[in-house]
Amino acid sequence: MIPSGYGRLRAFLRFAIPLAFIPAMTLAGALFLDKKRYLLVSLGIAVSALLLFDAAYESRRSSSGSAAAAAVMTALAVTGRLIPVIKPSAAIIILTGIWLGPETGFLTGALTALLSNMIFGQGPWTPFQMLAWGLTGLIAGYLSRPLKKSRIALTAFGLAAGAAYSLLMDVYTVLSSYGEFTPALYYASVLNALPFTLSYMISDALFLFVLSEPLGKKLERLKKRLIE
Amino acid sequence: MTDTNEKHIISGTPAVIVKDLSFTPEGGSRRILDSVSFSLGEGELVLLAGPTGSGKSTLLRALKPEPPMKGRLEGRITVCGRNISDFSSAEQAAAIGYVAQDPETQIVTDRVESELAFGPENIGMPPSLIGLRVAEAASWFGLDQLTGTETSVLSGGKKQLLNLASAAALKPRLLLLDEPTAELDPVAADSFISAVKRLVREFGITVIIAEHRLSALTGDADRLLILNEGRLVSDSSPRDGIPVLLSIPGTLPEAPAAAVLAHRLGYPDKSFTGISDGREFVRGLKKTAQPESERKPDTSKDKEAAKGSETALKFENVSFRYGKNSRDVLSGLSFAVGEGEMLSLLGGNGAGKSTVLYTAAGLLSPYTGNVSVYGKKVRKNDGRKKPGSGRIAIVPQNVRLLFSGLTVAEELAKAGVSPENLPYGPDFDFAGIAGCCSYDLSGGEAHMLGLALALASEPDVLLLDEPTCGLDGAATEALGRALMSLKAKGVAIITVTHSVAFAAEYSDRVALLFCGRIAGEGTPRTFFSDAAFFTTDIRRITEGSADNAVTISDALRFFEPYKEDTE
Amino acid sequence: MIRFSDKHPAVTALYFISVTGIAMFVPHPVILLLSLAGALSYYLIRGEASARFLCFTAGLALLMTLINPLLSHRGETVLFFINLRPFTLEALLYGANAALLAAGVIVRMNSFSKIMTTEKVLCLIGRFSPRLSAVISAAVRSVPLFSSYYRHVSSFRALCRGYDSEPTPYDRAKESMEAFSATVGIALEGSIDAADSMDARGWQNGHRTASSRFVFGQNDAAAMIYIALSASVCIAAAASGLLDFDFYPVIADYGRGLFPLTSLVSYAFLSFYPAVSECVWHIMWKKRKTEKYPDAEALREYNRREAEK
Repeated sequence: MIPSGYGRLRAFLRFAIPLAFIPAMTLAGALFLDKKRYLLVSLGIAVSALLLFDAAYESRRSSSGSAAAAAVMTALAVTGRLIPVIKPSAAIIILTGIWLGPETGFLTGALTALLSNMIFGQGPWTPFQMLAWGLTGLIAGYLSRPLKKSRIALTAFGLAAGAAYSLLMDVYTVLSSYGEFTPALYYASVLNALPFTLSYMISDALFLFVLSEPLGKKLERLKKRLIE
Repeated sequence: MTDTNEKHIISGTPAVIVKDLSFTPEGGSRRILDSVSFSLGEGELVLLAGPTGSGKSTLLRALKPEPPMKGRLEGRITVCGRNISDFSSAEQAAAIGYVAQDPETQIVTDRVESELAFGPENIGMPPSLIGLRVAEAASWFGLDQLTGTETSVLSGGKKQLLNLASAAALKPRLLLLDEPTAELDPVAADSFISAVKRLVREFGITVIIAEHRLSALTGDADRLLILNEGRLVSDSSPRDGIPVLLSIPGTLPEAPAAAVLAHRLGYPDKSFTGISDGREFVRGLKKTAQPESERKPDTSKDKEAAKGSETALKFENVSFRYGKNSRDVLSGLSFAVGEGEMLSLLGGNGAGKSTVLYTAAGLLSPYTGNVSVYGKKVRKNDGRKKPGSGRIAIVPQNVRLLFSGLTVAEELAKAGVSPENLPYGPDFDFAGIAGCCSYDLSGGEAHMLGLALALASEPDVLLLDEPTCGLDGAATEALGRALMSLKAKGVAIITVTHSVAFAAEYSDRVALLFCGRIAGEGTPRTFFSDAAFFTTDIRRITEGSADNAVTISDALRFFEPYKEDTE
Repeated sequence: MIRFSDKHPAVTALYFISVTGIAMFVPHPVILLLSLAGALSYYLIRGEASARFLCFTAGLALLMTLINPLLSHRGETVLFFINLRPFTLEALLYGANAALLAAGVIVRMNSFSKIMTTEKVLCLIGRFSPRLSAVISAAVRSVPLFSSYYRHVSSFRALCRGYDSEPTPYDRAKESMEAFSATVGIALEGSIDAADSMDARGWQNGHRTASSRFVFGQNDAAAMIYIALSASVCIAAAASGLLDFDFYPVIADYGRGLFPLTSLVSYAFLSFYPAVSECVWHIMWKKRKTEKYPDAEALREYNRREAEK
């Protein structure tokens, strides 16, 4: 559904800008900074990836079903942060990816990060969080068949996702604060975040293990009603 | 009073033409709609009635191309001279508006003005024009004071009004309303209906409204369409249509009280829509009768209530508020409910009726005063099993909050309920719906399941929050009967309701909550006879003619001797 | 004069990106000091300061300052030895620099979160991505609803069930999960109605616009120019290498002359902009309070004369 004229120009720009962004940032980083160039480049990549996804999302026909599902799953993931003991956010994103497709999974992941930060506090880490969780949803979507079959595989994926997210964010922490990336600083950062990492991993795994079946049924039911 | 039956013939091109409309759902074999045909003129307010399952919702959805229906739709539908399948997405959004029953789930944005802007944004209206449209819609519907507020904090009535405004913001020619006031309290329902009438009067929009509670609309509607089992059984003015409606089993509680009274007294061709008609009729009856047939109302029920019974639930000087500096929601509230007694709690919207229930259940704790069940103080549940007697169960207004999304049989099994132990009587069982997902149940069925799940813990006190909301006549009767049998078993029941008729029919005592305490209470007869506003339609009709008649049965007993001889 | 927090979201966004971006990529101690000072001044002047937050930030800063010399042993000036490893002054100062950066960003982001409401974010996103902003809006709308569902569901479940003894953490976790599962069920059912509501109002029409109540005015344009100018001077200086600062092996400042000094002043203009704006706002309102409003009689006379025209 590409509207003519002005609309076409906007659509083109939507894709062109992020694609031009990465080389531009990389160049700027290489030329103007010796420290923190990695941060600039990674920021450029994160933002471009998100903008590219957005461009793709806006250009394709979006059914109300997938939009409503993404909104609801995002809201559930954010609400999940408010419940005691267990944090189901990442698990919700993974299940969304598996049952509702990689695109919806990415969207839910990215928006969960954005929305959580709108409520709990923003920071320059937002694009990275959005990308990290978006990728979780996306990858879960691509691996949907094996993950649907085996609960063990799903739980293992949950553990891996929790760990990967935490480790990725630790990279950001080091890059942003200290500008350079030394193994020592990274280890320190990982160690510092270890209790959080472990709690993410355990929350994820437990939630997926216990509730993948009932939630899977509910999502399956939803899919039937929403798919045209 | 001119006969409005001919209005659609006199006015110009019909706004809506439906010819031989039939619908079979995907994967089903039975037709939900069967050759329905009618045509409506511009600016008509059309009432769509019929028992649950007659196809009203399906008919309304068929008139709206998007969201598309899953199944086979046959026949022709023309709106404003065009075949409905010729409408593009934007055109159908603009020309045909739709408001569904649940005010909550229809709202898709976070603020009032963005909700009003949602439709115009979708059809690609330029932002400057959208700004104007939002401003207009907000002002016209009285929502302008609410701009900037989040949609989640609006009351149910305001939410539904917002839904109406968002649909109307697209300047539709046809508005389809599917039981819009079912979940609203009377005051909110009234302002919603007023807004609808204004739309019809001032803009000539054709409105089709499906409703169970017909009394509010029969006076103002131009046409009454009655569906039964998928077929259109009547298409006429409301006055002529009411008798047809009454002949269908199960629709009695929905029709205007005056019409029901006339029907039961054996005057089937006398059709009344309003209170004044009813009063005229009743006065007319009395005149023709002999003076000595003055009958006394049946006071045996009152005697039973006066008999001493053990106090099941007691509130003593209970006060509650949500925050240290906020207003009291409950203020020195005191009342008691006895074993096997049913108390109906009435009150305006926001009076704190639900708070009373949650406090009784121990989910909220009062900052002063005492709540006790059979003498034992009710404590906030901390997960430990409550020792001894004193079990309390609650059925919330949104019954789905009790469900886990399993099939009916699984839900019952999970709660440990065996259907034989339920006091539902032979006219209701779960066998027919055992395989359905609990979320798919109709309003009445869902409430029965919710009640069953609440009864799993064998409570001594049962709390019901607006159980009649969204229920049709047959379901309300079934619920009433179930509550009667529970009462007989000794369960104390508190019902929060805004349905005065339900309270009058089934409760032992009625109380009005105001300013955090009981403003007045009594048996239904004494309460509704004394009440000026919170009283039943029957009372309004028979006041002055009959003493203390508050329910249909009272009125029937009183007017027994005046019954028309029908052979 | 429009208060900083009431300006168009584009202005707010540009401001925070500039001020934080420069701080993050130009780690000159003076820049970072100005960044923190500007952030703190605005934070405090808004009057919503929380001691807990400030203590937390200070603690984090202290931690960062001390961790660096413990892990990194570069630098010439050795203060003392730990475990045969040198604890150098340069490493300590480098840590302090990083701490300044982190603290400045944290405080700045706190204020940002308070000013940048959901409405403003949606306004910005809506201009470029109307469909996405609708999805976000729907999600925002659902969060309070779902948390209310969750609270009710867990309350009702608590009413019905009971444990024989004190519930273990595992019991509690399991209970939360089941209550959450029920919440998901109800939420998903509602999503079907939501999707229908979206379709009914034309979602499937391909082209969507977005509107918001924020209008970009002259005031906002002026603010954007101000921000762009002060940021550019700084960025230019940084790009020319005049704001480079080394900690290892010895502390060295590479900026000499007027230009680097100008860029630091320029950054100060940028960093303190919100705080100054807020100050001016308060002063303006204090002055207005002491003005007398015309009395009712004069107002009536004026209206009468207007009506006669």
